[in-house]
Amino acid sequence: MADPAYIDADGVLTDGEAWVALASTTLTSDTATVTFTNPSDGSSLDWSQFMDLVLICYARSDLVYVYYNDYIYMHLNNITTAFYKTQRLYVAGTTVYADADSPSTSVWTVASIPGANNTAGQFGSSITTIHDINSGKFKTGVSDWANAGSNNNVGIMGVTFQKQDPITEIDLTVDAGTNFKDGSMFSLFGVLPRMVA
Amino acid sequence: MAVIEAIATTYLEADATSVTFSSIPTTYEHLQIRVSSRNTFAYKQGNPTLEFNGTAGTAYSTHSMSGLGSTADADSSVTGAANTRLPHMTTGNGISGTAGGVDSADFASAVIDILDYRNANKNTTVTAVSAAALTTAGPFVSMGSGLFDDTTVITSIKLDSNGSWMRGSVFTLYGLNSS
Repeated sequence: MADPAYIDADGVLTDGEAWVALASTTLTSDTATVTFTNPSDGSSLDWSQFMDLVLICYARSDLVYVYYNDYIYMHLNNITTAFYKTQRLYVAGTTVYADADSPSTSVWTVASIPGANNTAGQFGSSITTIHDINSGKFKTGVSDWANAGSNNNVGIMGVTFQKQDPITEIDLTVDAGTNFKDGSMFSLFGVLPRMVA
Repeated sequence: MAVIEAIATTYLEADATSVTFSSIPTTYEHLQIRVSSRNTFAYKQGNPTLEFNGTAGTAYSTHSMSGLGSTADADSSVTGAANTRLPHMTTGNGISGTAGGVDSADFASAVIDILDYRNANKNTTVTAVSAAALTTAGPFVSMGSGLFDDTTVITSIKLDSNGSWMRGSVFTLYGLNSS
């Protein structure tokens, strides 16, 4: 078993980089689902040691519908039922909107992204933070996104995942389309707390 | 030196009225505080404050926008205050002035960025993004700005709760460098 990065060869705690690159995927073909899974191997990439996870997406959907955007959906720990409580604040065109899912919904919406009828090469960007992923709390986080496609959309989404288990898997899909387009990029980072007193 | 380094983590094993990071080194370019918190305020959302270097007075300003259910809300700008208020930064512990009604596992998340904190020629600007979509009460997501109208290098940060920070809240201060 490899030592985590904050333990040196002599077993002494050190404080190195607080952000650890866990995995990154750039799609070389259209893909329906992108999955990140905790290796659970005690290595420096094991999710059980991190305080937060940060997910970066730069993606495009194959949805064919004039001027229509798609969404990135995220499910945690394979939970696809109504355990996601949401609050969104966003601007579409020149109008600001706020809405919430109450009661809970079955998905964490991470971003609005361009569909296939948007200009070639346009992708939507998003950063999602999931806090305190190994605590016994419900897991709360924030997604923010920018989609400057034909129907531009920028916003932030707060979500509480109403489960107290540690986060061990993230699955990403598109909403109305079938696949993420090739070239879409997804990166996952783990954020450590202070390890040394 | 690490590009992003965890300077200090405070995990509350008992309620506390405030959390302070002091003796902050000037070896970083920017600071970030990552928070998972709840406080004893008997409403669904708490409104903590930030105070720098133990300075109260009138040097602080605040401005924010929030999503509260179907309402897109803009908090009017507050200037000349004794601290920077962070609207809706934490989950509270009650509904409409009465304690209870919020699930015990509900905590809010927040990320607070403090840029170029060691520059003695610039006032200090803060951005904060926070959210909690509560199980049994109204959800919220907020983006706030704060100003400490003072060029003093930031050496301490006090996060004051309106009420007390509750057990289980965790705060980590990070230092960011470009290389």
